[in-house]
Amino acid sequence: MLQWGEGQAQAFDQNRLWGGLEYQFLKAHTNVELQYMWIYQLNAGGTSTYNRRVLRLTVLQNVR
Amino acid sequence: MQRFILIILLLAPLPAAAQNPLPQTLYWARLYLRWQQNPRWTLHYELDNRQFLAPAYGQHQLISHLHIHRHFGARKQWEAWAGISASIANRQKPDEAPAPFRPELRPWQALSLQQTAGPLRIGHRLRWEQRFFNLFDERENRFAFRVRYALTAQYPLNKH
Repeated sequence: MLQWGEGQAQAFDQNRLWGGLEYQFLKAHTNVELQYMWIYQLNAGGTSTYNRRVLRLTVLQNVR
Repeated sequence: MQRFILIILLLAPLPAAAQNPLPQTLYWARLYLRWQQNPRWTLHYELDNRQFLAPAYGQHQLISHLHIHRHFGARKQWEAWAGISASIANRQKPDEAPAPFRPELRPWQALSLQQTAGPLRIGHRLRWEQRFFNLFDERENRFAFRVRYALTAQYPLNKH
């Protein structure tokens, strides 16, 4: 992701890389997804960088 | 029943000041609702809570997204998205002293394309955001554009 505007020291914002597994059930109306994500992010002032490891759980429901 | 492996990349050139990044571990929990209005239009709502697990436990961000999608193309392989996100974020470092939450409103637009390559489903998405927010140490509002690109690949492990 790239950004520019007030308070942004650099255009670089963050990179993300992730992989995961998704499981569908109840006739594919409900999905559960587990992801592992790596985020490399720069703060707005350009003074700190973050090396983030994220475990992400998603429950997706198709509403009829 | 289907299972997929997802591999997603969003890569931009790394900044020159990328020195000694702070390691952090987080847990994100998301509820995602999707309404199919008709074959061409879908409405989506996401509520995402993000918490730090390390180096200290703490709340990081609560963010919600409301977006509508229009499918088009001969195989409905293209999607035009329009949405708005609302967020309240805490400090970026959980071991720092608590601070007032930072609010943000973010209208955005996106265009995505789905393609098949053998068993793989390849996706491209380009998203353009307008961010209205303030910094933690200021009371005045700020504005920034952000653009993000995502490349995804999905592989079915099991299909019935």
